[in-house]
Amino acid sequence: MTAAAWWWVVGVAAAAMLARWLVGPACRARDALARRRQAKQRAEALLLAWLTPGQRAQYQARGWFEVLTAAGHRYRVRPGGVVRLDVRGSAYCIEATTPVPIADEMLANKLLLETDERCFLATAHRYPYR
Amino acid sequence: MTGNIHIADAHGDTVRTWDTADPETVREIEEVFRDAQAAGRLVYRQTGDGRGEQVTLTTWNPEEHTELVVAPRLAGG
Repeated sequence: MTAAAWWWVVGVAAAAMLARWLVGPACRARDALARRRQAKQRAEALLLAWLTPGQRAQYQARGWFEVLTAAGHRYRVRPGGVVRLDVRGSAYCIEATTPVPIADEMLANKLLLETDERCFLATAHRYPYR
Repeated sequence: MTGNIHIADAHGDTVRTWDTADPETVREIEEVFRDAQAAGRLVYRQTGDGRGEQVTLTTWNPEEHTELVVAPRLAGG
């Protein structure tokens, strides 16, 4: 075998090994991305199914929706937090303790606000908001 | 009567179905309730107007409360 042929074989073998190292992680990353996208779509469908028509319209137009509690307090549920609207100056940081799509978290915030505002206030971290 | 329980999880929404004609499926949903309770998660039933109402294993009526969701546990951020 000539030196050129030898180097060609070595080059092909190295390329094959490199391809195997790169293709596996790339495929896994692509699959993970697809799973996350699918989870996001499912969570959004679930959220939309549990919103009132008014909330649904707000969410589809602006990405947030408002909630009126049993006590008559008004909040805006946004991705990543909640803002009180009827009394300005308060926002709340509250999040799921397990990894879920943001729409699932927004649904949990809405349901807790509508059914047990006191529990929401006791759970959430309040911070000043302008 | 059949119903669905939507579990908010990393998959976005995992759905389990029950049929009151099949007690085994109802028992499986009861197990979901127990797991949710143990994890500090709340279960809601849909009241029909886009609102929810908290429901527990003792207040759940599989004949009437046919759309449920297990919300993720929340904590202050």
